[in-house]
Amino acid sequence: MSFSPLTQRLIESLTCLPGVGPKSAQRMALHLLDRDRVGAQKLADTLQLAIDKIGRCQRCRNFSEAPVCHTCSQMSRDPGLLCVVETPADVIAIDQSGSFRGFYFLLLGHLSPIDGIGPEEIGADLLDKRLAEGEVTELVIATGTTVEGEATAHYLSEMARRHGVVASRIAHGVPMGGDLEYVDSNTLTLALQGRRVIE
Amino acid sequence: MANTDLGYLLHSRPYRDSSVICDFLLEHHGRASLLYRGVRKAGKQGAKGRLLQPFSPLAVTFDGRNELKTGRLLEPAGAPVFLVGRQLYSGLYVNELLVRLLHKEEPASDLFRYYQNVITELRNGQLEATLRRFERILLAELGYELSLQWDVHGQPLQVDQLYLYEPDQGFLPVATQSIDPGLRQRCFTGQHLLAINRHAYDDQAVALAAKKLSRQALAPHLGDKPLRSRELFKQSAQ
Repeated sequence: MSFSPLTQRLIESLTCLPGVGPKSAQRMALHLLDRDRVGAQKLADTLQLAIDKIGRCQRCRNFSEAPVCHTCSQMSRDPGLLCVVETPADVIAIDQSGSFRGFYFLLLGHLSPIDGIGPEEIGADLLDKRLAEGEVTELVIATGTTVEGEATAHYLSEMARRHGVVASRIAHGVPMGGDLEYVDSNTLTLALQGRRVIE
Repeated sequence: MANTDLGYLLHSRPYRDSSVICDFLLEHHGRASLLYRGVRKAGKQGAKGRLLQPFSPLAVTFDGRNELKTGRLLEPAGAPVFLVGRQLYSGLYVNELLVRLLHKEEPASDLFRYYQNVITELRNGQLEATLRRFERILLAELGYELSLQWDVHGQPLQVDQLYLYEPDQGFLPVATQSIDPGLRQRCFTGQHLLAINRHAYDDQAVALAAKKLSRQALAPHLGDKPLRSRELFKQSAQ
C-alpha cells in the first residue's frame, strides 16, 4: 500500500528538517492530517508568512522581518561593544547569560578556505563598514574554538586593528562544575596558556 | 579488518545530524576519507569530535573497503599544536593544497614526514621558506618535479639569462631584447632560479621569484578554481 501522491509529497517535504528521516516524517504527516488539522493550518500559514517576510537585519545579519532587528534597535545597549558570533543560536546563548550588554554581528559561518568560504561569505565587508563608522570601541570575538574559528578570529582582529578598535577573544577553558580529569588535553592546554594571576 | 595509523586531519565537514566526514593525511595509507559517526554532540559523546582538529597528531583506527572508510577509535598521538595568526593561514593553505591535489589512497610516507616538519616549522614562525619547500616537495610527489638546474634543451641554467617557465616542459631561454613587458613579468632570471634551487630565500627578490614560480607551477594542477586560503593573506599584506 502506498500513500496518495499529495500525502507522499508532504512526507517527502518534511524530511528537509534536521533529524527527520522518512519514518518520522510519515508520523508527522499522519499526525497533522489525522489529529491536528488546526495546528497544521497554523503551521502552514506561519511558514508561508515567515518565508515571505523574514530576511536579514542590515546591522547584524540576524533573521528579522524589519530592516533593523529588535536587538539592534534596543537603545539600552552599549554601542561601543560589538560581539561577533557565528550563528543566531550563539546570540541567544550569549544574551541569556546576561553578562553582555552590547550589540552583535553574525558571520553565519566561519572562514573555511577548503569549503570555499572566504571573507566575502562571512560578511567581512559589512563588518568593515560598521567598524569604519567609529562607534565601536571593542570588538568581542566569540567564534568557535575550532581551527577555522581561530583563523576567523585572527582575520577579524587584523580588521579591528586597521580601524583602531580593540579586539578581544572570549576565554577558552575548563567548564564550570567540571572535574579536571575529564577535561580533554586540548582544552587543558588552552586553559593553562590562558591562566591568570589571582588578585 | 581494522587498520591503525597515525594521521593529521586536513579537513572535516558535517554529515547528517551528528557525523563528520574527515579528510586525513595518514602515515601509511596516504590521503583517506574517514566517516566518524555520532561525534558532533555536546558532552561526553562529543569528546571524540572535539579531538578532530587539524595540525595535531591523531592515532586513528578505521575499516571498510570503499573510498569512504568508517572511523573507529580516535586518540591524540602527541601534544596538541595550536597555530596562530599567519602560521594558521599558512597551515590552512598547506591543507587546501593537499586536499585539492593529492590523490586518495596512495601511500605518501615521505610527504607525511615532511608534513610533520612543516607544522613544526610553521610553529617556529618560518613561513615563506617552509611553504616554498613544501610546494616543491608536493609537486615532486605528484610527479611534476621542477628541475632547477637545466633548461628545456638540457643546457645548464645561466646566471644572466632570462627564462620562461613552460608547464610540463621546463625553463625556456628567451632573448632579453625581443620581449614585451607583459611577458617579461612572467620570466625568471637564471640567477634567481639557481638561488631557488638552493632554497636561499633570504634575498627578498629570490623569495618573490620563488612565490611566482610556485604559483605558475601549481596553476595547471589547480584548474580554474582559485585557492581560497590566499585571500586570507591579502588583508595582512595591507
